[in-house]
Amino acid sequence: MFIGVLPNQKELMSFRYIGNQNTGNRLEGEFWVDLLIDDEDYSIGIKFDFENLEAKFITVSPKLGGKIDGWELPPKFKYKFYQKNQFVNLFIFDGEMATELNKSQGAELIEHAIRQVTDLHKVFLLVGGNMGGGELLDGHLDDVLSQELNRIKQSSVDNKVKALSTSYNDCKQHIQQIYKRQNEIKKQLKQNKKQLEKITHNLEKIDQGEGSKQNELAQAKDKIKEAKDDLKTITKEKLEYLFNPGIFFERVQNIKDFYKNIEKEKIPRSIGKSFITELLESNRCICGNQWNQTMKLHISNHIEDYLGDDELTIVKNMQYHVRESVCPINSISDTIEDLSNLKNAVKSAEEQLDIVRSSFDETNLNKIKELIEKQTNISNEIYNLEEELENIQTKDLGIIKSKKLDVEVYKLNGEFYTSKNKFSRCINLYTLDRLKDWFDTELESFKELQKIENGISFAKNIINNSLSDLMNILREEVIKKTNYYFSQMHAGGGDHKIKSLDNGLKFINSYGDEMDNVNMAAQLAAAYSYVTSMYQLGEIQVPLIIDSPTTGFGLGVSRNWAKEIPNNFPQIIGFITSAEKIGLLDLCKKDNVSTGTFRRRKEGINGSPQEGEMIFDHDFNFFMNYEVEKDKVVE
Amino acid sequence: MKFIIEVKVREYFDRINKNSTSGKFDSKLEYYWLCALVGLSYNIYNKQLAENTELTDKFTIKLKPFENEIRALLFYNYINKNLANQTNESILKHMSLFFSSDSLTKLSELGMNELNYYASGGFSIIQEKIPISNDLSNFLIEYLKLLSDKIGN
Repeated sequence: MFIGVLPNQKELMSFRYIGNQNTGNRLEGEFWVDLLIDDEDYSIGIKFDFENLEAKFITVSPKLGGKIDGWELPPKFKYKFYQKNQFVNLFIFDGEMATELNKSQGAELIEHAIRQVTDLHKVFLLVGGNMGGGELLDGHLDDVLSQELNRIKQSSVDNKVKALSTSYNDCKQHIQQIYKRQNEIKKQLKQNKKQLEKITHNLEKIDQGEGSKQNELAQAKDKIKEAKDDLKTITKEKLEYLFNPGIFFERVQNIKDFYKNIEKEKIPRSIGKSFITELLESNRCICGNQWNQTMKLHISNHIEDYLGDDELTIVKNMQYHVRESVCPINSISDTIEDLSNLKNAVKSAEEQLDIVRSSFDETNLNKIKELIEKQTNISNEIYNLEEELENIQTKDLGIIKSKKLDVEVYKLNGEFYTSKNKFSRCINLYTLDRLKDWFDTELESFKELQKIENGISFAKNIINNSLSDLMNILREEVIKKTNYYFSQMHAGGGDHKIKSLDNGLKFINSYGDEMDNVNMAAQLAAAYSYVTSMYQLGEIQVPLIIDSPTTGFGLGVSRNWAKEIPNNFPQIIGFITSAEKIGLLDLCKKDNVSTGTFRRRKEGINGSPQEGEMIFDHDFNFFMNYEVEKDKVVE
Repeated sequence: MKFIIEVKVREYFDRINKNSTSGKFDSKLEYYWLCALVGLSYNIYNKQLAENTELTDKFTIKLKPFENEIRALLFYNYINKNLANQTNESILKHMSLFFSSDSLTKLSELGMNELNYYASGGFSIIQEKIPISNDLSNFLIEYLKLLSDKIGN
């Protein structure tokens, strides 16, 4: 009710009626607390719907204009209590709470209650840390960074930068290796070409050695050259014929007919659309007559019969070229034959050279055979090296794609692979450079993120240090106040003091020795003293609800408790046993104290019979005499 | 708007260009056109282009003298393919759609797409009928045979 937090479903069911089946309502229930806040009446209620496992707050106040749904207590109250569960826990005080405060588990409760009562919990939330509900929250400052890190699916900037930097270095290293390989290939090609020249030279030398066949050899070689040149020239010529679609027009008469017919039909007309538009705008026909509306409408309706001036030029040119086109090839089969003959001429010229050489002496023939074999091997090697070099050097995207040179660098969705295992299989420098550029850009963007991370870390350090100092001061203040109230109660039979709050309430004796344990009376007294000091620290006035507050005390401490503690609270609602009542009789007699007894309707002051329904009896005398021996009945 | 060539087409013709001793293509658009010419002859048209790259946006030097004839052949195929009932009005309307003075090829986007689709269709026939060759003259012999099969001698 105080902290504005609704019970969860399990907690909700604990409020369900469990009494007489005929009288209770198990489907719904409600609970109300009346508050006086700055002289204004407020009622805060909670309504339970056990059927649907739901609960809701209702606030009633003249200030709010009556009854409204929701937890709507005034800002001043909200500021002190809203969602401060650890602090508000201290209002409902019982032996368990006292025990907890005195144990190490109580340290967290103490710490968070101090944070909440001083509103420092909001600052703690900024830098992160356990906020008292058991949940570990990221700080708001960390949220800024987390959002950026979520975007890049990384747990920290460092991890990402480290991973990227490693891949980037691997990439650069790989590029260096490819450059090295490129140089090796170039060197190797140079050597191979030199070797080829040497082989050609050696072949020439062998030919020259056969002096008597010089003429025949020269003729054969010239013939080869001539045939090859012819083939080259004619191939080029025939290829260029094919660029002319006239080859088509001659053979597919329909095309020429089509263009002839549309020309005949005056499609398109010889004048362009702009001529008609201008004419229409001039308001006068070329014959000199004024346009009337009917004429204008007619022309407007037929304006689409004319092509735009530019399109008209394109189409007219096209029609002219079709009309005038000349077929470059008279007969395709003749062309094929021409090419075949030229190829055969090359072949027979090469055969002629082989024939001349076949008459060389055997030694030379073997040498030629050996050299030609070597020549073929080196040529193949050159072919492969040139292929590899092209794969390394090409910047042509068509070649890169057709040879799949980039598949180890680009994913199907166009993103880059960053794994060394992948990109190190790529040899194309252009593709690898794109990857390197990408690494550059990514790393640059992470530098910005690193700045944010450093800034957040710096801010957190400063805030944490300040909070730590502030919390030390506050703890000292709480200890000082707690010791003051504790000393007033003289509980525990000694001159104990509370030394620290680090592991719950920790005591020292008059010699300064830390005490492992103190008796129940001292524990209770210390816990009350602590709660009292927290109320003072929070500068709040709220009722303290206590259950069996002095059970652990002897009569003396009970009387001291009654004298010291209640005065610090605007209201205390206590549930006490008849045994505790003995130590509190003086308190109960005070004018500002109301008493009452929970008892059975037929029950007498001696506690029997236990019959009749449970009632709350306001009778002071009954309260004072209940379960007190007859000779000690209070007058 | 540029001419678009499929990667596999380049692969096929680059091999000829690299190895041929009887001549080479001077530009990629030249073999692109040979593909388109087969597509137009056989009326084979492929709208689903495989992996591709862009070429130039104008006719290259050897093709430039024939650009009017190329547009004429392309438009003729387009009309025959798309107009069952060829009226003067419909032909005129399609002329407006097909040509454009805004592009260097004088073809609208529609016209350029048509040519790209015919080039792709033509290559599928070349690939099927002419084995990959290392020599331009060998390829030309086979190409001319393929063409004459359709348009006659």
